[in-house]
Amino acid sequence: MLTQLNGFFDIVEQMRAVDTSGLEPLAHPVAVIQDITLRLREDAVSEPNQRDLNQQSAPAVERGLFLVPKVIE
Amino acid sequence: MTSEAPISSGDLHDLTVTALAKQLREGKVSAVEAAQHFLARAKSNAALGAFLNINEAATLQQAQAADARIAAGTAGQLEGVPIAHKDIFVTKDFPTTAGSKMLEGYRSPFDATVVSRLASQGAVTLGKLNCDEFAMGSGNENSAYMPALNPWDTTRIPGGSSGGSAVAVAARLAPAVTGTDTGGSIRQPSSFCGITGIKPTYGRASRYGMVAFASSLDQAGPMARTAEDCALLLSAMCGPDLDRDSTSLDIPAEDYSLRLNDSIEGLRIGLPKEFFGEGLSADVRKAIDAALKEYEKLGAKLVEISLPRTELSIPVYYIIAPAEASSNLSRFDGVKFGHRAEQYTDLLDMYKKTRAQGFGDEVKRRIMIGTYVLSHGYYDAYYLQAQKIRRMIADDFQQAFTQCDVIAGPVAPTVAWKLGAKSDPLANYLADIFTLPSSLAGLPGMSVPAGLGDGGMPVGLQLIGNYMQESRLLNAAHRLQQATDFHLRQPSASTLVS
Repeated sequence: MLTQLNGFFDIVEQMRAVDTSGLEPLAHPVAVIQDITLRLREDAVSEPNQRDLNQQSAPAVERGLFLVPKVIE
Repeated sequence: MTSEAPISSGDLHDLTVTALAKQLREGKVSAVEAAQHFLARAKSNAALGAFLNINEAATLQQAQAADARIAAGTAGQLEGVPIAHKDIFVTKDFPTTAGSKMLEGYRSPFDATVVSRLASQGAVTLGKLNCDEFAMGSGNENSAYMPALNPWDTTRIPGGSSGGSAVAVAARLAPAVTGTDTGGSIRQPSSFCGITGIKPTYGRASRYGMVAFASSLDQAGPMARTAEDCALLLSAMCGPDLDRDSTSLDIPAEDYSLRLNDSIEGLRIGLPKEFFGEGLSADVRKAIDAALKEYEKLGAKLVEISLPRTELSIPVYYIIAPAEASSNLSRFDGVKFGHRAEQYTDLLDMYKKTRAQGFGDEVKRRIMIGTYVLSHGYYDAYYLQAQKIRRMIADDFQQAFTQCDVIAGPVAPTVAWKLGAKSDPLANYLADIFTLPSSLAGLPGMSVPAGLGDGGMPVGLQLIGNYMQESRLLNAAHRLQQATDFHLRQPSASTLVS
């Protein structure tokens, strides 16, 4: 896997030579043609409480809590 | 529903979605009959590896509900049409694995927006489709469960990452399916399996409930046999989802079927010279040229354009996508859902062992690359630089669209390769060259069957449109399909069980 990762960074080298001075990074592609502002919504409860459903795929649950190995002595 | 059924259920899988929906609405076949027919086909062709999960009881229950709505006169556009979903979309009634052992047995408490939008038009879920693990791959060989086989030649890959999706449609195990496209994962398998697929503008389909790979690139789209079917499905799938997807575009839903039959007389089709260079194999070139000739006959004009940073899109994509993936996949820690290692000494050891066991090699490679390029000291040189070049690539398209209305070229440099032929991950990355530029720019793109290449394998013509120009792409594809029979060709029946 190390060889593969090094091989990958060989093809990335061509990218580093490109002059991008003065350019803004593009995060949302549609921002190329229009202003995109990330929306905020009201900080209000919008979902029903479905704890059992939300925990049905948890590896370890007890009394409605997710169990992890002991982290505090 | 038993009286005067002129269509034998043996022919159901030869119907397009459009035709099947009509038969269902007119009561010539029931939703339950349709569901049973496709479930039987899916099961008898299990060797193709298209499906990861089938739940007959859940499907039939949905079908009965569809029949009740048809009887009550409240049928939706897709009432009773069985549609299978790529296993990247979470579903309440079926497990969701994203093709990974990490999510084996996972049950979502909710349906993805795309799934519920299709269901609200009456679509019945047929099952969940095989894909590369977390949608990372271009041959479906990175599925943690099994490879999917190309029905045109089962010694070849079907493409990826929506490989199971493409197999299901090509082998007529489902009338239509959903897929997701991050760097070409709808278009490339559509091309390799001879079907029609479209990825809309980034932000057009909600990403809510799509297991996230690279959030600034991921898009959902339909895969079917015709552009007309894709238009019908895409209309149901797309629309604003403002409270649940922060990148969803606030633009009303659209009926993509309205302009299918518009004339394409005078349509300017741009051919990027970088897509027709020496990297393109001769058989693919020949098929693409033949399809372009058909467009000329239909009155379109071919113009040469340039997308000068086509080659650069490979490193740019393979920096941005893994960077976002490494962040998205950090949620798989064995605490709230998914796999947890059985043996561990403490919390950190549990994380390490869980992730080492749960992820496959390609996912691990991308997490490592992503973590590295986001790390302090490398962030500017890699991630930020890639995002700046991404802007240049998107600007190149805007420049090109001053000279043309749509862009056309190959989807991939070759036809589908043999299973195991590209064991080197870099070779896979390089083969994505023609789909990555439009993915980075967030533009809509599609694959339309364009005849056969070496080994009798399908070749796909890629059409790329400007932002929100899905209608125009579907129009151009539909007109081609009205004039040619490329999309009607199907794999020889010898690989299929009826």
